[in-house]
Formats: sequence, C-alpha cells, structure tokens
Amino acid sequence: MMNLNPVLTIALPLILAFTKIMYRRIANLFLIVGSLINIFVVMFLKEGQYLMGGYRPPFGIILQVDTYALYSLLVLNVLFAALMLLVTKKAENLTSSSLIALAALNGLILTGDLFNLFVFLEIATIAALILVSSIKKYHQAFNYMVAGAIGSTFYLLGLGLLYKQYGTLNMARMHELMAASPSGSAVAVILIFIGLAVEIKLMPFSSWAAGVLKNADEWIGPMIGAIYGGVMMIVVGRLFTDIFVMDAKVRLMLSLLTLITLVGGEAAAFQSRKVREVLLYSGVAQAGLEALLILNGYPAIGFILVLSNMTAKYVMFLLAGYMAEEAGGDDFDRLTGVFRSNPVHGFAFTVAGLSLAGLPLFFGFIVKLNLLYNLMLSHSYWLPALILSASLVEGIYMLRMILGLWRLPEGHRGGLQVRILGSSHRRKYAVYTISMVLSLALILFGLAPDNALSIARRARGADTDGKPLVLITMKGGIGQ
Amino acid sequence: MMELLSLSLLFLGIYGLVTKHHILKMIVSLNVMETGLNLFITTLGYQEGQIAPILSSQFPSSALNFVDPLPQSLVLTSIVIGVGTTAVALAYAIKIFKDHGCLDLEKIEGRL
Repeated sequence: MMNLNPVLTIALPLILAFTKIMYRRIANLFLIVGSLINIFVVMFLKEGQYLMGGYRPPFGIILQVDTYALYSLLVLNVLFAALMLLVTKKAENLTSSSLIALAALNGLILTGDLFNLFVFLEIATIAALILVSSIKKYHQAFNYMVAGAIGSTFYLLGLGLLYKQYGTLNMARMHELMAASPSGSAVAVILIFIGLAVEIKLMPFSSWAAGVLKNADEWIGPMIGAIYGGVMMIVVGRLFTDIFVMDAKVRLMLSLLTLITLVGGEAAAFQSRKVREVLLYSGVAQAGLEALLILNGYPAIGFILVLSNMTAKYVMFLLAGYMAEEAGGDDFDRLTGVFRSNPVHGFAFTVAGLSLAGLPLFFGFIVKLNLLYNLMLSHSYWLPALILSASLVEGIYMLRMILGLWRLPEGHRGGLQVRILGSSHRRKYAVYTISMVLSLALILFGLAPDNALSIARRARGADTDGKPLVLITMKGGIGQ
Repeated sequence: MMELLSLSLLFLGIYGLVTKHHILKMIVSLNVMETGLNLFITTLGYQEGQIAPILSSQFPSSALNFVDPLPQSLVLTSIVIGVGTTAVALAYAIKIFKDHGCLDLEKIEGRL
C-alpha cells in the first residue's frame, strides 16, 4: 500500500496558496482540489516519525503520525473540504488564506517540535484574522488579534522558560526530561496553558469569540467555531497528555479555569435568545469540559468528545449562518418555525443539537455515558454530578431553541417563509447533502459506537490514570 | 538583570494593550510586548564571556565557547511573525477608520 509523507498535507496547500495568485480565474478550483488532495494524502499516511531535512530528533524537526494525529487529520481535512465545496463563492477572495489555514492546522496536529508548533499557531492565527475580516466587523477582528497576540506571547514565554530549564524543544525529549525532573516547570506550563486558552476559548480569555462568532456567517462559523476550536483542543490534548508533566496543584489550578468555563458557558448560553450566541456559549462550555477531561486523566474520552462536538458544531454553525443570512438576523422570535419550510435542514440541525447536548440515540450521548461510567469507576463523584448538571442545562436550552425553530408562529400556516438557500439550487443540494451526511454520522456512531470508541482508546492509550478505559458499547454491554 | 528588564518591557506592553482603547496605541503596545519577549528569549541563550555563534576565519571551530544560537533563531522567526501581525493590525486600523471615522474602540463599541 502506498505510503505518503505527511509533510505533503502542509506543503501542498502552501504551494497552491501561492501558485493561485497567478491563476485568479480558477482560484476556487485550487481550493477544492487542494482540500480534496489533502484528504487523499491523509488516507495514505502510515504511522511513524518523519524527519525533516534529514536531521534526527532532538536536533531536527519531526512530524509525528500516530493514531491520534491520523484521525484528527482525517476529521479536519474532511470538514475543511466540505466547507470549501459549500461556500466557494465567498471563498474566491480568501483562497490563499484558506489554504494557508489548512496547512497550518495540519502542521499543528503533526508537529513534534514545540517551537514549530508556535510557528504553525501564528500562521493559523494570521490566516484566521484574514478570514474573519470577511464578516466586515473589523473592530471585533481587531479584538481577536489582540487576544491572539497576548495568547501567543504567553505561549512563547512559557516555551522559553521550558527551553532554559530542559534545553530541548523536541516534544518527546521534553517529556522524558520533565518526567525525570518535573519541579520548577509549573510557571512555564501554566503560561503555555493560558496562551492556548485564548484559542480554545476558555473563560475569561474567550471574550474575542463573542464578537466574532455572534456575527459569523456560514463560512466563519464552522471554520472558527468548529474547525479551529477543535484543532486547538487537539493540540491541548497532545501537550497536556503526552508532553507536559504536571503536579496536582497545577492540575487543580488549571482545572478550576475549565470548571469556570463550563459553568459560565452554560449559564451564558441558557440566557441567550439568539441562535449563534447559544452555539457560541455552548461551544465555550464544551471546550471547558473537554479541557477538564484532558487535564484530569481522561484523554481518550476527551478526544472523542472533541471530534463529536467538532462535527455537531460544524453542522449547526453552518445552518445558523445560512438562516441568519436569509432571515436578516438570528434571534429566536425572528426564526420561529423556520424549519417547517426547511425540514431537511431542520432535521440535520436537530440531530447535531441533540448530539451536542448528549441526548440518547446520538453519538454525544454515548460519549458522555462512557465518561460518567468511567468517572464512577474511579470513585469520582463531584465531577459526574457537575457534568450531569451541565448536560441538563444544555439539554434544556438546546431543546428550547430547537422546538422554537420547529414550532409554528401564531397565525401562520405552513411555517415561516424563510427558505434557506432558496436562490441557489446547486448550493442548496450541497448543503442538504453535507449537513445530512454529517448528522447521519452522528446517529450512526451513536447506534454503533464500538469502532469510534476503540479508536479513541488506541489513540490516547489508557485513561483514568493508567487504568484501562472501560467502554460501554452496543454489542454486549461493557467491555475493556 | 536583562531578563527582568525585558520582562518589564513585556508586561508594559500587555498593560498598554489592556488599558488603552486607541487602536494605534494598542498596536504600539503590541510591538513593545513583542520586543520585550524577543529580548527575554535572547537573554536565555546569553552566557557571560562567550562569543557569537558565527564561524569565521578568526573562529573556525564550532568547539569554541559560543552562546546558545537556538534562542536567536527563535527570535528571528518571532520577529518575522511580529511584522506579519503588525501589518494585519494596521490594515484593520485603516478599515476601522474608514468605517467609523475614529480609532477609539470604546467610542466605536459605544455607538454600535
């Protein structure tokens, strides 16, 4: 079987991004072909370490392809390509930035070097800033830039301190040295976490997200809210599971930040009366939960939750963007009954919403069920109670929003006459297909989760502090 | 001493970013912050009495007492990234001024 070099997933989009400048008329083709080729490359990647420039680690940069990176890349590239297929018209002026964003996001997942990760982080942020400028809210984009700059400064400061202490930037070597002598690295690890907290939207560093995602269209919502957020969380999963060694006090301090985010995000989403605002704050709360799991020894469930939420948020932000565009806003009153005249979109949005909230039959439910079961097994009781309460609140506001979008407004017959994408048949069917495929995937993985869960276990190894992860599957109950 | 000075510069920049509302002042603060960070990283590789890591006819061997060159290469990359960020920030500043006629974020957000 063919074995391709993972550097292609970074180099190809970069080459296309700069070649495109000479062929403006077929810019969209570059975008679609580039993102589809990347899926092909990912499908033929083999696990292993790939040296860059022939220098062996820890002296040279390496790209690390393991199960974690492989499945993260697959989800990222499929979602990215789907977005390129859907919004090609809007992407015309943003082709280069989109391709550069794709290269940087792939690099973030693959790199085995901490400074190289900083470079990809910065490239991804600059590409995101250009993409965000397409919604014409420049002062909000400026706030995002300031938050991102402070975040990357903290990351680099932490990295400098780690380099001073351990004398390496190679991730694997850093882990070995930290495991042998973890004392004195707490400040650096906290600084790096704060730096990344801006990107994963943890409170109180998530204020930029409100400005950007509340106004997000069908292009920026899935890109920043789902794809970027998911990839940054995958990076956090890599660093805080495989690389950094933390003592209990640091873990507790960072966990408090994630708990504040979980509670604050759910409360803000509960209060909100606008679709994109609900999705934004729900995403913030979910980021808190994902980071909490990663920090507290549940990386496999954290990983599968990241991928599940990434898919669900992608579908919801995409459809919310179209709805807001057609209806001229996204407050609940304005969109009451919108799904009556758009039942296919309504079905996809409902499935994604219920999966995000963790309701039965959907993939999100299976993930949370496994999480609670494993937490109970490790005699942790306050965390399951908190997660259950947060899920209850999320279930309430998600159902309230979804029912409102299905309910007929008083005096109306046949639903609100807002046709999502009524003007373009090609795009309409593309949105139908992609949102339906992704939402059906959430149902399918909810009904037959065994493969997805075992991949997560393989990707992240043992959970619950070295104990094997116990999975509740549909085949025969509980298995190890 | 140099570490402390560069960290002071860094936090001065962060202070400016957090407390100022004028976009140009914020961009200046951003650059002050980046300069402080770059200086700090450079000082990490500095060692008293050692020489710059450049091979020449006068210093032909890498076995000589060079300072650590890695922080300097990190700073080079960081400077390039900083230039990119500043360019994007200035582009935003022009767009914001065209849209709102001023560069004060507090006034702009107050009007919306």
